[in-house]
Amino acid sequence: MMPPSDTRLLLLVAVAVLGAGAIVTLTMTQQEVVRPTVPAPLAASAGADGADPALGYGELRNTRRGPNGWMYGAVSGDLVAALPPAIDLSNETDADRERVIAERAELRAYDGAPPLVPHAVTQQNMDCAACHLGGAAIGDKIAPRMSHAVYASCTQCHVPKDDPRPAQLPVTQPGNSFVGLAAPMRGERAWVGAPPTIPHTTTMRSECNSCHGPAGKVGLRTPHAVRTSCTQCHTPSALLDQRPPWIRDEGNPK
Amino acid sequence: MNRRQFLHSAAMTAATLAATRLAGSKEPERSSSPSLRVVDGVTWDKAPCRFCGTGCHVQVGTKAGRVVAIAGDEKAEVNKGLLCVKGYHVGLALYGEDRLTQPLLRKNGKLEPISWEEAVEIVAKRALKNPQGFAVYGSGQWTIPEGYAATKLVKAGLGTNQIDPNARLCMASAVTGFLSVYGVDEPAGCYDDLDVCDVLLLWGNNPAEMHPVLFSRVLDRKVRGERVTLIDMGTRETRSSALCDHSFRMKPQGDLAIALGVMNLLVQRGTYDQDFVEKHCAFRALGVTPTLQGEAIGIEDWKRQLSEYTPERAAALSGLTVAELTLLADLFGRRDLKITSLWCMGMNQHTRGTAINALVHGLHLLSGHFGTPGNAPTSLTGQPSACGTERDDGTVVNGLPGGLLVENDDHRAKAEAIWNLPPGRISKTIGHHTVEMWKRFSTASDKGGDIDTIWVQVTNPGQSMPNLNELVAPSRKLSDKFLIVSDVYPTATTRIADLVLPSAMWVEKNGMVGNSERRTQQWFKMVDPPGQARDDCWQIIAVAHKLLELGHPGMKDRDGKFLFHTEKDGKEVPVWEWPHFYDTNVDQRLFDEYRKFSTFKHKDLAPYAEYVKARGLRWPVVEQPDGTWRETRFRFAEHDDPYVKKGAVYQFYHSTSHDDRAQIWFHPYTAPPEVPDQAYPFWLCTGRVIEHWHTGTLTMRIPQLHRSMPQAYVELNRKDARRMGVSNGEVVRLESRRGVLELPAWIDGRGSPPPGTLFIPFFDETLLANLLTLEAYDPFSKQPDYKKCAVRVKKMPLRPRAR
Repeated sequence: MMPPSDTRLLLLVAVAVLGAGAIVTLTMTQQEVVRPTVPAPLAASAGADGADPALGYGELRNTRRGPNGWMYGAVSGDLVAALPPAIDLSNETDADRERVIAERAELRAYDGAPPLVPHAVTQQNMDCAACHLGGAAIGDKIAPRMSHAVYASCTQCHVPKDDPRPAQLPVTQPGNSFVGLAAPMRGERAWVGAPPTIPHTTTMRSECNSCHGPAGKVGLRTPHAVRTSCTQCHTPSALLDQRPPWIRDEGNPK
Repeated sequence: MNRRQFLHSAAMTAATLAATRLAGSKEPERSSSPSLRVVDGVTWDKAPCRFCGTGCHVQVGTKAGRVVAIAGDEKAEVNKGLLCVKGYHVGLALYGEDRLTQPLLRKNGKLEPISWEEAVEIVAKRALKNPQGFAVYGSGQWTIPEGYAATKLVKAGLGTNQIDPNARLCMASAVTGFLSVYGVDEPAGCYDDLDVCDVLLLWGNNPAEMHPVLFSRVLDRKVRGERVTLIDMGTRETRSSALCDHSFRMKPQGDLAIALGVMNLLVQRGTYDQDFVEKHCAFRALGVTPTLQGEAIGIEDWKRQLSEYTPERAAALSGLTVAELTLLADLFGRRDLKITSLWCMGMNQHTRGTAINALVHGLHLLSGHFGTPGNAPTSLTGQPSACGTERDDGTVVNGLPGGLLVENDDHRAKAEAIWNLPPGRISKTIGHHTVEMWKRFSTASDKGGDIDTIWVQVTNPGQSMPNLNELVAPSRKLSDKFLIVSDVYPTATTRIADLVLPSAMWVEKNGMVGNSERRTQQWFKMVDPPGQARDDCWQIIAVAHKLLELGHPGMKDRDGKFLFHTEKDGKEVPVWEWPHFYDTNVDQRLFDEYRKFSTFKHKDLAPYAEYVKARGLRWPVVEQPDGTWRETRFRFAEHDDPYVKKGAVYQFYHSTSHDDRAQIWFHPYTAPPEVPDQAYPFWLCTGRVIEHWHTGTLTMRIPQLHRSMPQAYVELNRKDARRMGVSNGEVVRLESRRGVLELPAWIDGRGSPPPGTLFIPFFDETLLANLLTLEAYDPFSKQPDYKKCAVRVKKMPLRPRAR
């Protein structure tokens, strides 16, 4: 199933914002107004060159500059709390899993490729962390938490699925016969009930909750999200992760 | 794969490894690649990425003879497991459905399939007919052995110097800049500088899109909490601007005034590094008749010439404010800060490219920001092997491998000795550089058009040459001109070619390349090329052998041996016959021969086998007493360069003033040849986007990249658009003195130009930016300026666009 179009997403966001506004208005009549705190503008740095200190990536969400800088920070801050808690997964089937893997493959050239961005993005401001740093739920859509460590330049690897230019003219798509490596269905277990090994590389997939947590897609979710130290029981593959020791590497000093 | 299967396969690979070692095979094969591993039926092995000059290492996953996946190579120092969107999708570049699979000859206007035998004979006969008029137009995407073979064919075989690469269009000014300052090409520093610099200056480049992995190497230091100041200086706002701490808008050609103005401020304030200058620098200026090496001047004379560039004058010329120039001078005036400058096409594709390169080197030398880790003027290279193949391998009209020059009698003698040629075989007459070459190809033979055949390999001049209407199109109307193209897909050039040769690409052949930080990297063939596509290197050797059969005397060395004579176990291997081309490792043979040239200018290369073992090595690679090979990270600096004499601290051992000093130049500001005027009131700049590599022949066939950026556009400033009544997405008509182009406008899209400026990316074959561009070039490097010419914009009447 293809994800809904961007206009629908915009409508959902608008409805969510209006809804949140309505709730705030209602509560206003009953108690003290609760407004999000605005931090003081950045003071000039103590450095002799006068350059502003670099912001940590997590701070970007709260210290956005420019007009409407607050809008998305506040929205996602309120909505993050709406992520679903750990739930009973006994109804998830193999068919769910196959469907999810097929959905993921639509955005990935091969298993391990950086996914395409399924929604429109602005070309210059990289505010991806607003939703993807911690993950967020907006209506019935979920912005998955980043599955890898924080990098500063998101669009280095992730490009939008569709043409970002306005007034797009139809352009013929050349054919390509590449068939990408398929995602593994499941990890192997030593016996029924044993913790499955991780069947994919953990490079760029070190944040397991991104796909397998309670906010993950139905079919991939772990039945025990309350446990947070995943690799305590689930082992990655040294060969897949390019970690020694493995036989070939002995001659390579680098 | 279960545990037993894994152990079995592990044991098998161990046995194979042991067997290879026992056999004492001197020839490295794929099985000896240290990164080779088989996991769940997928074979993974290392290769440098096919795309830019960063030179990231990837792990290529193949299964059943096809590439199925790509991963960043965790063990690569360049990228440490990270790639960019092009790198992650590089495996798809092999599988576009219109891959060229058979040789094609144009008969009655149509390209018809012919056999390889026939094709090779056609090429050889063209060269035999008129060796002086036979040109090879090569590429910074050639592998090192391919470029070396082509150079040998032309210079040792045909006895001309008519070979020039597309790197003429991208790196030539960087080369002349290096030569005029240090006496030898290539950066002194390396990527390690990025890990420790305090200030990173971008001189007119957009690394967030063009060298993304290098840029994020610095950005991610900030994410980890380090304090790094990034300053972007460019003619428009780019994606890089948004990620920098300071973003200065400069006028086109203003980079000259920035460098001159900052240097002058350092001199006026006395905050330049007097000790460093006194010990390690000399001064230079263009003489009455300007030459590349100019003439020596004294420091007082240099200061006097520089003094004209007061902050006010430099601000007026550059477009920066006095405060911004002062900020730069404050930074450069500090000894405690480590400053790295990065630049690429903004400074190289420039009618004063040699000058601006020399001035930025000079700024770093003057202020002592040189030689220690983090202090580096770092010229970035665009193509994956412009350094390794072109610049170091000498595939240029005036060069020989190893940085030698054809005009130097001693250098020619050295080359003739290594190639075992009769003395005098190598010509000392320089060939026609790229723009000249194509001009003559597009001129009738009886009107001075003395180039009648061009063999193009691994590049697309039909889209990438400037001023296409004048330099390329006319050649197709001259019946005696013959265009041969070796490529992998139909391109703008194959569509107008007379003979098309299908070629193998990337991991369909063995290869080696050299990236921006002097790192030579190697890979093994992993899959077969489609149909009858064959290695470029084989094509060159096959043509050479056909010339030998047809009696061309140049194809034999002094002892009568074929120039590409290859032996294995005492017997000759007929590598000019395709079925035997991989009987031996031709790459290794050519590379180990080329190595002999590398020591002359201290660009020492290690033996081929060392590069098999490593994720590249930075030259000069010098053998240690214990037999290991040590690479050099910082050249000319005693703390790392083994060629620097003890106690010297810094030694520029190829100094053009022969006193171990680097040259700090004075170059005056010179305006560009074509500036906006009443008739053509806009500046036009051209360039790239992250999704597409060069002319898009590979990346437009990768669905994810094509879908994300399917078409070119013109960036138009919001105010200009409002004034002209142009809406976002509307098609506008651009006209220069040379051509016309209609394409959609994009306002505040990927980049934002200031009022009066336009930008077009050149990746789109259906919207050729180079119909508009100007071929004016730098007087020393002969590199054209794609960044500045004058155009006018007209709003088009709205109408449906036929496609």
